[in-house]
Amino acid sequence: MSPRTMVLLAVLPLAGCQNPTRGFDTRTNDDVYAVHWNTATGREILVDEYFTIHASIDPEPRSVSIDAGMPEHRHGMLHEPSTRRLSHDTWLASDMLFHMPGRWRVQFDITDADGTVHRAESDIVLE
Amino acid sequence: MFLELLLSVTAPLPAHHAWTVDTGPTQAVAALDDHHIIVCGTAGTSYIANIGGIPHVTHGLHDGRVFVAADVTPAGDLLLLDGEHHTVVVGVGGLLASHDFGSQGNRLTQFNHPTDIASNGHRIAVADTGNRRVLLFDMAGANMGLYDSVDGAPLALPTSVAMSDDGTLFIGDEATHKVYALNADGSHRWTIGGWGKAPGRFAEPSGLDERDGELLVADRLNHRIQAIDAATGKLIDWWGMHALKLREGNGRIHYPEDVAFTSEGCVVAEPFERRIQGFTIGEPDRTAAPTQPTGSQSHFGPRMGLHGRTLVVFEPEIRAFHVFDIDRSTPMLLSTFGEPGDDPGCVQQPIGFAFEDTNEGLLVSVTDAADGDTHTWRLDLPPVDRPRFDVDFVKLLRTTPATHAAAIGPPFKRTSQLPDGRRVALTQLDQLVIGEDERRIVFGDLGTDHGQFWHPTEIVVDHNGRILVLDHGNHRMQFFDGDGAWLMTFGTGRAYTPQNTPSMREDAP
Repeated sequence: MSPRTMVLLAVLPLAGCQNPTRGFDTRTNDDVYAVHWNTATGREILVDEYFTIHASIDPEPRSVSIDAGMPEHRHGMLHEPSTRRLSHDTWLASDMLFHMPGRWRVQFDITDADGTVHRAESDIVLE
Repeated sequence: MFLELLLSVTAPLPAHHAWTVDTGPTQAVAALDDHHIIVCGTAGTSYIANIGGIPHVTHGLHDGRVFVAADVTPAGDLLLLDGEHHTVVVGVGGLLASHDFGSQGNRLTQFNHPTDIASNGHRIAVADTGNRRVLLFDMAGANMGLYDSVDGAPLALPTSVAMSDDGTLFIGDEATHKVYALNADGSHRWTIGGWGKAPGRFAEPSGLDERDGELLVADRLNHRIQAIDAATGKLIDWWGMHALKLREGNGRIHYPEDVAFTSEGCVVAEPFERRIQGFTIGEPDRTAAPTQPTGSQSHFGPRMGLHGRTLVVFEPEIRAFHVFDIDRSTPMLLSTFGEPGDDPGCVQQPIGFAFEDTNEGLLVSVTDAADGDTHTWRLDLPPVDRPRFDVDFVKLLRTTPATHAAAIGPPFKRTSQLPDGRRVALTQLDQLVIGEDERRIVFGDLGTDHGQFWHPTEIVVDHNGRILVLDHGNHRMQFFDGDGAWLMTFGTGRAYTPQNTPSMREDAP
């Protein structure tokens, strides 16, 4: 099974059902940080409805910035979300809004103690 | 006062095409008096020409220097900026140079690749681009201060300055895409811009000039001039449509680098078109551009990176990189990555590519002139026998902050070497030279056909021994064999090539 297929299988339950999910696990593209995230309510993400992301990151980073965009369309959301720290390893991104159907990519830009930024990504397909 | 401001805002703008002067690549222009302009070209080709379209050179300004910018004070004193020697040359009463000051460095009387100069006769402002700052001097060359930030925002690539009679300083920043105004006491007056195409936004504001309360901005990648109210920072108007074909005139503008008021209107320097256009007062020309460009749909930037069969070229207009497999019969676009902004993975002006085969895969690192940060991506390209386009082939691994924030990159790669040892080079006249002895091959006239170039910037010999020419001005790449025979022309869309390729003319077997 290809990694891409695994991602899609992980995504589809969230995109296709109304039940709370157990969230997503991903890692930075350079394999330095592990990210577990979910919507703060545990509910699925819907088109044109604001949501909040709750993320746990290991090991503890210096800072995190969470954003999202549509890779094929080369655009982001219609406004900037805000990311704040909840505890030493948990972060909250509010005012997330996917304004159209299609594939969205949630990006976690994780800054380490040296100032280097590492990126983790999760794809969500909205219908 | 109100009436004056109203007049300023509603005055007709200089927008009618009036005349054109063919020049070489010209990076700056300034009005000397009612009858003459100063033209600063590359490689020490600066001169003074008559206003009105007559390419009559009255005075050469070479003198072993490479002037990159000029300004004239209200009293008529001439200021020239020598980018090669990092020096300001002051001429009192016109051309007679009275003194100069400056050297290369980062102290208060030193510059690192300065790019623009402005003066009101009392103070001189220099865009010290390589040091990410603007320096102020008195007319004798004594430092009067510096700006490395405006209203708390650091300057990233300040490449243009203008100064009004009352000492208001205007700064154009090509990385933040903003224009700033500072009062004579240094306080912040206004900021306008940010990346974008809408009027009031900019894509690389590269030249400024102010007169009578109106600031003109050469908005390079938007191919237009925008007029700003110098007092308030409000947009007055904009004009000049994107020239889609080379040498398209009649008021169309292609990559304007600088702008200057004249007694009759203004002049615009377009190094890309190797010309100066003069405009007089009239109604703005906003003829709608064709919705479907008839020429190129890609805009290859001036730098490229090559590793084996993988070619990476930057497209400044969308702040993105294109990845090609060049070993196919026609090079194939495999992925596009990057976007405008200053977030991780966003590059404003790439100044260096580095490839590395690692345990993580093939990595490409790019250093950004805007902040010195280095961005590293992993290229997970498809198997050679199953090529396709996918934005997911490229993943950002990390963005590393600058340890030394270089704003000026290494020189363009204009020499390379063939497998048999022969040297390949682009000359100052933008011709390609293969070999060095009496059997050397020289070709590459100015033009748009195969084997012709328009502002080629870099060359490289690939692993097949082919010569790759980044034909930047034609928005395309061209391939040649080691004997100079044309092999191929390509871009991301249609390239500026009038003739079909020979292979396309052949009948199918």
